[in-house]
Amino acid sequence: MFALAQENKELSTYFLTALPEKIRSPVSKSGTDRLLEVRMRCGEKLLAVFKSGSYLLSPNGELLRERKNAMTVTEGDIKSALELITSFSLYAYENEIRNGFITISGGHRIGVCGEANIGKNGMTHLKSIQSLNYRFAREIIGCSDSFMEKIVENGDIKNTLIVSPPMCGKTTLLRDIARNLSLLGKRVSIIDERGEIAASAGRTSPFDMGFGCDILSGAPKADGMLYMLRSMSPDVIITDEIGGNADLEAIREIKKRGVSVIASLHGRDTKLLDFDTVINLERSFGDD
Amino acid sequence: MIKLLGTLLIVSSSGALGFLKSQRLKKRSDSLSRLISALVLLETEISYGRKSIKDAFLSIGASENMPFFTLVSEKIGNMSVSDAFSNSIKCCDMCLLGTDNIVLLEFASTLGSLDTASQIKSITHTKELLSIAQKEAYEYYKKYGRFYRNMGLLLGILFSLILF
Repeated sequence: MFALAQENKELSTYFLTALPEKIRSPVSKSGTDRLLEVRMRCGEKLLAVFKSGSYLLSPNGELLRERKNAMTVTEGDIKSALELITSFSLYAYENEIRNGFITISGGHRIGVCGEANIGKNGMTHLKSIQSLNYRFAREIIGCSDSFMEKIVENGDIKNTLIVSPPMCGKTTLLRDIARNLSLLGKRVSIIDERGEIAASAGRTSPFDMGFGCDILSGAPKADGMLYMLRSMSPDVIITDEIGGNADLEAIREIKKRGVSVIASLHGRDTKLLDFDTVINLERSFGDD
Repeated sequence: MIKLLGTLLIVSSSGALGFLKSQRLKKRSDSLSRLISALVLLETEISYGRKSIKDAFLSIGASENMPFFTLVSEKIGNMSVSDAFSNSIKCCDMCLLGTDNIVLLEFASTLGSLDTASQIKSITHTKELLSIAQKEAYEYYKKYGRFYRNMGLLLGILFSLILF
């Protein structure tokens, strides 16, 4: 319990230091224990989303339901926030911004939106950034304990796909599965394309990763999975939010080599996925 | 004996002043050259290394032995890039003129807030402006460097002759 509290404090610190000073104080005062998101929209009121619902924040950190007395987010606040998030180096995060979000230390994801610039091959970059959505990454040690006996049977790791809508804890669950598997002595490789599972790009992961996992950050999932298969001889490969056919092809290739895959997928229910996707998923994850 | 010592003192101090003035002219030209080299490195760090401004300046400061960039790197985070440049220019005596400082501060005002292509354009533009200033500084040093050294010495001798 003590270890859990310490980890959460570290994650809160990462989250708060990425907020501009003016915003940091009310968010900190409102408490980060149950915080899910902080939304900054230029010219609008500062919004915090908790498990209990959404509230506007006053400069003193009071939770408000009315606009009166709520803090207004200015263009300067968005600029300061971007400077902090990108370490004063917007160019270094061009690809991340094009994909819609930046992941900061602690695995917190910051969604970015504004006016898009369109080139020959679609969206090139954002001309002006108007809104930021800070999503608080959580670590819940032990949240996968009840699933472990289904995932590991007689020492074998089953191919597993976690399907859920956004904000339901797919990444948190994957992280804890990785921790549990490493504690079982399995060689765990994580493909952390967006730095959310282990948040270890260029640094030590702030999360409890058990006896340790091999983490490849920033690489596209399909390439990353095959790379780890070659380089780290894993028992299991874990990755987040698979999507394209390339990912499924890579998973099939990995399965052929006798290595298990645990992944997550955006969706409310596998029944609601379209036919082709289900067929592809069954081919990739189902028993041969 | 006292007269001789006085003469020596006047001539040497006057000569030293001339020499210092000449050295400052040389230092401006050298500083501008090194700033241009640093911008070339920065261009590489941004386009290929994708390093943050702070890290890029730290490595440039070390590799080019330019305390100016190390200082800017240390200050970024505590203040904006623009303020870090402005403060570091005051702290590091690079013998630059006001016009050189304006070029650097204009460059700093957009540094880190642009996409890669625009950032590279900004660096290229700054390099061009600094190159013009460097050529001018070198020409000025070639023309007046020796003049200031000799003038200092000669003025010292003249002043001694008038006094004694």
